[in-house]
Amino acid sequence: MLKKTWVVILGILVVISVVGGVWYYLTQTAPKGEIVIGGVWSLTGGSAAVGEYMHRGALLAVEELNKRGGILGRTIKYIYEDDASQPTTAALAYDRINTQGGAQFVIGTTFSSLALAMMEPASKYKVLTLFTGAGDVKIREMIMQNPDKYKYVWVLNPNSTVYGPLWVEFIKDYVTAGKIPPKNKIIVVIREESGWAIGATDFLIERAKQLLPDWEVRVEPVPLACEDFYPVLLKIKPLNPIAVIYMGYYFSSALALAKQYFELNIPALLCYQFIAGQPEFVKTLGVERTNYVVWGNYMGMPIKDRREEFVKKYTERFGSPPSVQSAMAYDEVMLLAKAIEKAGTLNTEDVVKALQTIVYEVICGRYVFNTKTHDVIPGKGYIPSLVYQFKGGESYIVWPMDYKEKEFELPPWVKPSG
Amino acid sequence: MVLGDITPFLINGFLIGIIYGLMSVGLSLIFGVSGIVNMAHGEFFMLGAYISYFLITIFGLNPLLSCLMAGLIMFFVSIVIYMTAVFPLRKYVNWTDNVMVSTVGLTVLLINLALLLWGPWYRGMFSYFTGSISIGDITVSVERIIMAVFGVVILICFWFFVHHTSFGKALRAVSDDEYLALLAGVNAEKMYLISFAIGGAITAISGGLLTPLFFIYPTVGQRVIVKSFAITIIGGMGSLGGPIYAGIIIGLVEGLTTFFWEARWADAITFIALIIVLLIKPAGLFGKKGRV
Repeated sequence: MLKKTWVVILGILVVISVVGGVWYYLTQTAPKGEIVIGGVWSLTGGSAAVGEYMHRGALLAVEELNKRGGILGRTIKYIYEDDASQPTTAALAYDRINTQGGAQFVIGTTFSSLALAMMEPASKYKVLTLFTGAGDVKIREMIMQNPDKYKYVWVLNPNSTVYGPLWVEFIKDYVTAGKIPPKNKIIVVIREESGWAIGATDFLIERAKQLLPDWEVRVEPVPLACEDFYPVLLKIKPLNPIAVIYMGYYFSSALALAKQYFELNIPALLCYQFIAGQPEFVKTLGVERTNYVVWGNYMGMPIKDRREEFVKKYTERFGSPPSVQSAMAYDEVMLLAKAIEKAGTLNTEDVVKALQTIVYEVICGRYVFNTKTHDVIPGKGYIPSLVYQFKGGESYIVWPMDYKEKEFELPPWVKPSG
Repeated sequence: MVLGDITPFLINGFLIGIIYGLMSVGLSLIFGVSGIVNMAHGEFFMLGAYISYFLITIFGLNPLLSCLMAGLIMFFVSIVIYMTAVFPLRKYVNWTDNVMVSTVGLTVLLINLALLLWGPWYRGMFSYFTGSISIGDITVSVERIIMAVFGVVILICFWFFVHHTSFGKALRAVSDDEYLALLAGVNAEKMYLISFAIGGAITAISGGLLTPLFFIYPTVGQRVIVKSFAITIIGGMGSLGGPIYAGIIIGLVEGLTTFFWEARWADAITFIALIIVLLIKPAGLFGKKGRV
């Protein structure tokens, strides 16, 4: 009797599961007249600080477009998945957004390692996938080696051939301008063990050999997501370098480094990648601890009035200011919308063709794609790399000279005499 | 190489090693007394860090006092966890294996609870105590010294409890031989509960102490647990002093690795040491045979 009861209960559970699953699947399919754009972002885990900003930037763009009537008269349905800052989860999230979400276009992601994990599923589903925040040269190499396989994968940012060298060019320009004293002629790069950082550092070293041939670039590798920099900083301090560049993207690492850096009174200019551009960087460390710190990115918001307009509407919508990554994700959606409008259809092949010839200026600059590498053309007039400096809790563009908003200031603890 | 060049690395390694030891001793205590492998150890650390953080930011408590309070709160939380996630499984034959799986589930639950309550954002106390002490070329952060000293005080109190109180003697008796302890009238079940609660409390205190060093976020425990397990196994799973010595050894080895080689190999060295210890002395450097 008891056995029969359990069989009946089990049977009911199976039926409920099947019905529930079918219902769920049916409700996820977009009704006619909608365009489904799926976003894969790091909303939890080590990269959540960046991922949330990107998700909000994309959401803002979708809401704006829908207010204007959508794309080709169709409303955009924006769905998103969390990759938990892990490559394996990113690949699963990509699968889910296609199989369960029914995404017709996919945008993302927070970092290169996550984009790399999504390349295979992207080639499998043949859905136009736009990445931003994916600077690893390996992505470019994979696309160039297999253009047919990865024809639907496009990257909205320059790659690390630009990222590393920007620091050398920045230092060189300010040494020439007499603002950076060439004491000891040593640059230290604290490099995390990620493909992107290794690539960017290699390109930095190459560029230094060209522009600063009598300088030494010393690399100190640290584990991924390192949070105890004391041993490395103790090693660096006696070298008395002019600049210490942190080549890494974990937010917790960036915070820990700044804190320990100032505790040990390292007398050098502290340089970060984009990670220091998150509003939480100043909020967590405080204004005093971030004064004179510089941060650079292969993309920024170079046009002042567009930046101010974006910051205003983002802040009104979400109650807090955006980061550069918010602008990148916003541009991602706008660019996708432009490509679809240019194609006049939702057909993936036509939209890809439209993307190849698009010239579109949004917040981060003017987007024109390199059709061989599927990433954007960097530099002046296109997507310029920018270096910012913090002062009083705000950051200002200090390089390149054409985009400079304020003068670069050497930190008072960097003594001119070696 | 001059001694002055290497001294800062040794000092820093020693200081951080004490914290590693404190971080790991709770795991070893729980295993040593009850045989439970607490896979949620990292999350006890995480909760201790968050509790300490909120006690400071909301109530303005002194940072060291907040660590103690976090330990006290987690003592009682650990009791609740024991009664709900461990005790019900005691009646099964391979109950320790079942509890290990149960604590894996607890890990997922606690991480997601933390995400729900506090979000994925990083929180951190910038500095409890600012400044550094410089003697010649040697610079050490005041904060690290104070954290390490406080850690030593906690460990001394723990040692005193284990060796000079009746509860401590009972814990050691159960750890050495449960059946003999039962025959001697020790309530083993009570000892399991107390060891779990004390282990949780000590781990929570280490979480509070490490807050200035590591910023807090819901998955911070995942970073801690791997190192804790390695240090505990090297020291001797079940040994009460082993993880402390192992923590100091690992802290020194990490510092020396960075000095002579590169920081990226520091974690690898820890696991190479783990493999060597397992091959040569599986019970751990200071462990007892039979518990492993």
